[in-house]
Amino acid sequence: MRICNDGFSSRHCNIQTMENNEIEQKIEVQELPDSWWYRVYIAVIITTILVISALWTFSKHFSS
Amino acid sequence: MKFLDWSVVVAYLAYVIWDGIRMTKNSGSAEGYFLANRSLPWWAVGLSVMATQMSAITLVGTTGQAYSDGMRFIQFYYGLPLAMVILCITVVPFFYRANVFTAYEYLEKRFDLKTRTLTSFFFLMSRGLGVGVIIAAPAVILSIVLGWSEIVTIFAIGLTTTFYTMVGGVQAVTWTDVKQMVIIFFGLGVCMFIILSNFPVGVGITDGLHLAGALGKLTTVETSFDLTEKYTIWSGTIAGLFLFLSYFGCDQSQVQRFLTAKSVSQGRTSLLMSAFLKIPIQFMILLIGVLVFVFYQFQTPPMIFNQVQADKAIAAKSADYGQLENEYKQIHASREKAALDFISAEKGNDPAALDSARQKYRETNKEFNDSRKKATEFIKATNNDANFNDVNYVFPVFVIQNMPMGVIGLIIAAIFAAAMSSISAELNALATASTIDFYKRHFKKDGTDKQYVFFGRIATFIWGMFACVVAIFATNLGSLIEVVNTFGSYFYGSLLGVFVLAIVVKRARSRGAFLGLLTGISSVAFVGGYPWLSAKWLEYFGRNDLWNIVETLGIQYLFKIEFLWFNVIGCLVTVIAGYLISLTVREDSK
Repeated sequence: MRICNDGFSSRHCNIQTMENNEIEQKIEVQELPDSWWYRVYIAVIITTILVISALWTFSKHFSS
Repeated sequence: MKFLDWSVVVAYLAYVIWDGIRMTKNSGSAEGYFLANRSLPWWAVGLSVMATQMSAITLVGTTGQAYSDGMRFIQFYYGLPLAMVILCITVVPFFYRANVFTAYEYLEKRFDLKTRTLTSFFFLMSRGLGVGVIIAAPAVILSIVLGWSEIVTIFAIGLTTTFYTMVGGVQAVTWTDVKQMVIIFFGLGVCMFIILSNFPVGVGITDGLHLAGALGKLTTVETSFDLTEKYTIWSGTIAGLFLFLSYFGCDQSQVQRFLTAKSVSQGRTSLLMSAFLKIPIQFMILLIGVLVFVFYQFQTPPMIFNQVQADKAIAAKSADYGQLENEYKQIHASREKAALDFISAEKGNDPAALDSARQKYRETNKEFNDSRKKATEFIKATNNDANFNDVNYVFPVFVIQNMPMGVIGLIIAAIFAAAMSSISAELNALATASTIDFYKRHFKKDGTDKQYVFFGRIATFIWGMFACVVAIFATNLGSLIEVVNTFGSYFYGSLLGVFVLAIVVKRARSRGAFLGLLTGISSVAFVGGYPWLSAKWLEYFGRNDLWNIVETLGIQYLFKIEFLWFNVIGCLVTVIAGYLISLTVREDSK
């Protein structure tokens, strides 16, 4: 199977069949919008701050 | 190890080889062999990203470090989530849409051939030697634990991994990574459960954590801003950020992971999986090390965890060793009593008694540490080995001596899995860069897919053999391991600098990028290598001229900076030098 990328949101694939005939298949690639990703990035940062805070609290609790 | 344990290890190795061979049918084309036809789901790529980063030495070294030094090492990973976010915004869509096989291929599109070739060459140099160390480090430990010779252990790890990587390409690497991560998680989970169930009656997990906390082993945030301190929140978030940007964004062994994803979105999700999970996973691994420490409050740990070195010292000075061991056992008994008293005081309501018990426990622990330090110094002197350090042996020795039958095999298989998951990705990346950046670009531009895949397989085999040979030398020259381990950090920051110039600085030109890269690497080599050079100068000429210059200029501090900060220096110097040189060039002539 050979896949060639002909664009960001779709790909054309040449697929070798059992009879050795090449057929072309178009695969739609779903991409999520940037606005959605920005919310995810903010979630990552907030989660990281919360995790580090939780670790700090954990360390303080058991060290006192 | 019993028959059942050996069966588990052998079954694991056989399964990995079989699984790799199964992937051959999907690896006929160059894109299939090197990029899995860009068809892999985000969760498989995400697990592969984590498996590639988690080598065996991460597993056994981190637990050993937590045992001796506590959880401070976790701060090393605090910059990782932010690095992943920055990479998701910049590098992932850039590389994916550029339709490249290697990260360095993009540099030719942006700059020129010589910049691409130089960065790829630096990658091959640093990773080629680095993968030898990745094999050597666990091989030395496992050879002692399993009773195999070092060479047999090196080839058991190296050849098996080379075989399935060579046959199955990136698909074999990724799908075996997924299964290896399952084995690692399962092994660690079982290990944690058994440690907790082996605590004495009346001692629970919170009691154990209070014991560790009283000795400062649960410190997870160190706020002092000192560039000569290895692990602080600042070195983790600032220097670590640069390191992870470079490692995940410019190192082919990681870039190749997300290039195999089905889409940009899936590539991003795979990296963000690490952003969410890496700190909790590392916390779990460190917690196991701390729990092993707590376990050994109530069981006498070996005075020396490296039995080969201990036997060598016993053969030379048996009576002295015996005396040290008797003292060590007595001090351990008094520490055990102090630990139990501290737990009782914790459960009571008398703050004065608690303070007193805590103080007593700290004092006995200090005596215990002094006793072990004395034993370590004795080994160094008796065996004439100034670099002796047995921290990496703590976890494997604990497993072999205290885990039930079957579980030992499972944990040893998990250590093998951690080693092989990193090695396979590195070999695959080395083969890809050799094939795409050198063979295809310089020697066989119009070759067929079959030729590229064939060359990729040969390159995997050659790099695998090279890594095994490096590993054999690395085990004989202990200090070489440290040298080669820090070798990568000499390049990472500067490589990141070139990609920053390529993606962020529009005014950057090819000459600026090329010379900026050389300037960045030279500056890091100067900061990192100057103390070594001045020591050699003193050794050969009997004069301290080179260090005197530094003292005259008053810049000694610069040469005591911990290696994590080399990434920041390399990147900043490359970007600044590259930009300034680019200002002198009007247009690139390609």
